[in-house]
Amino acid sequence: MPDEPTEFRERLIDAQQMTPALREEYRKELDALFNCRLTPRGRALTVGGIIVALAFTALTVRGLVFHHDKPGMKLIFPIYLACCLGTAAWLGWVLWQGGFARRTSYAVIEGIGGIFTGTYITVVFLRGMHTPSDPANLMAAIWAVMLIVVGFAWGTGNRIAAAALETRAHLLRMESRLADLAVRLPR
Amino acid sequence: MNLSARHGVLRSVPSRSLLPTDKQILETELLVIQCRQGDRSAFEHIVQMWEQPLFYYLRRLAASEADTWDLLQETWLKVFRSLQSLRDPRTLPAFLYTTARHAAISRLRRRGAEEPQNGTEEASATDWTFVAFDDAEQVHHALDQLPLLQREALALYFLQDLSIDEMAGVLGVPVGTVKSRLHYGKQAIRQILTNGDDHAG
Repeated sequence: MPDEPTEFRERLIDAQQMTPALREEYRKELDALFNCRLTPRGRALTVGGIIVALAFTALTVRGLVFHHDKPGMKLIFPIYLACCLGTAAWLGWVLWQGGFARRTSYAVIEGIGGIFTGTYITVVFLRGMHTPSDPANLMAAIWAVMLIVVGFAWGTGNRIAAAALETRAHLLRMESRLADLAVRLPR
Repeated sequence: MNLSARHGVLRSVPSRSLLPTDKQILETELLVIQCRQGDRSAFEHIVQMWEQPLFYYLRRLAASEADTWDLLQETWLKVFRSLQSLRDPRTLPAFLYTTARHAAISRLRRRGAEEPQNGTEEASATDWTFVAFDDAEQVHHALDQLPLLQREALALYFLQDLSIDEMAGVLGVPVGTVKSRLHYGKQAIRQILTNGDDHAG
């Protein structure tokens, strides 16, 4: 008796020989793709990133020591210090693990970037309020406002896109359950 | 609205015996959305689901098994990068096969090997719906003896993941040409199998 189509498909696929060694090699490379394993170049870049983060940490400490009396500096330097140390620690962890997860990495980058930018904007406005006549402060305030607008638009766009995906995912789960139910119910 | 009616595959190929169910279609769409949300396990699930049929298809186009694994890896990399831009998540199967085919053709082109040339074959009026062969293993071996165009079309057809319309999209030819290739391909397979039986007898 001829095969049923599903069975035929499965048997056809099974008839295809595969060399285990080649498949294993492919699996390893695919695993590296999923888990973002560090390549030698990626490892070198990570080490470079740690060095840069530590250099910025040193500069921030220096700034804290020599410029702490300027307005806003007591706020900005400790936060920048935390950001730099946080970045160095995260990169060190990535190096230790030998890879990184994209989703977590985006969250870390977004978090550190957000704190960094937020601090900059706050300090700019604090300095502007302290010496409003200084043209440098005015320019910095304009840049800060532009940064806020761009950040707000970007963040809102991302939130809307994420919410739309989440809603669609919920709907699909419900539709899937309904479809499942429709199959199980006697006609 | 009826879920089946909303899906082109179900509308266009009523005669196919194996069709994705509503649940499978919805789950495929959900997987794509979860991938877009950054869910790594959803992508791994897609790979698990489609790895073997894609390997089978690519093996029909590639010169060696090592090449096939390379092409499959290349396909996943491209899919991983471009899944965000997939407009209709329900077209994922066609998207996967199209991506795999492009990867294979690029490689064939680089090597100056024979690549699928889309000709203007006449459509056959003969029934092209699923016709079960007795032995999948014999069909598998017979497939490799066919010309590339027929081999490719029949491999897609036997894998049963795409409708004829979708196959036409993947192969970049009109529906009539797909039917024609399937018709002549099946004739050729029958011929090969009959000859094999005669020799065996």
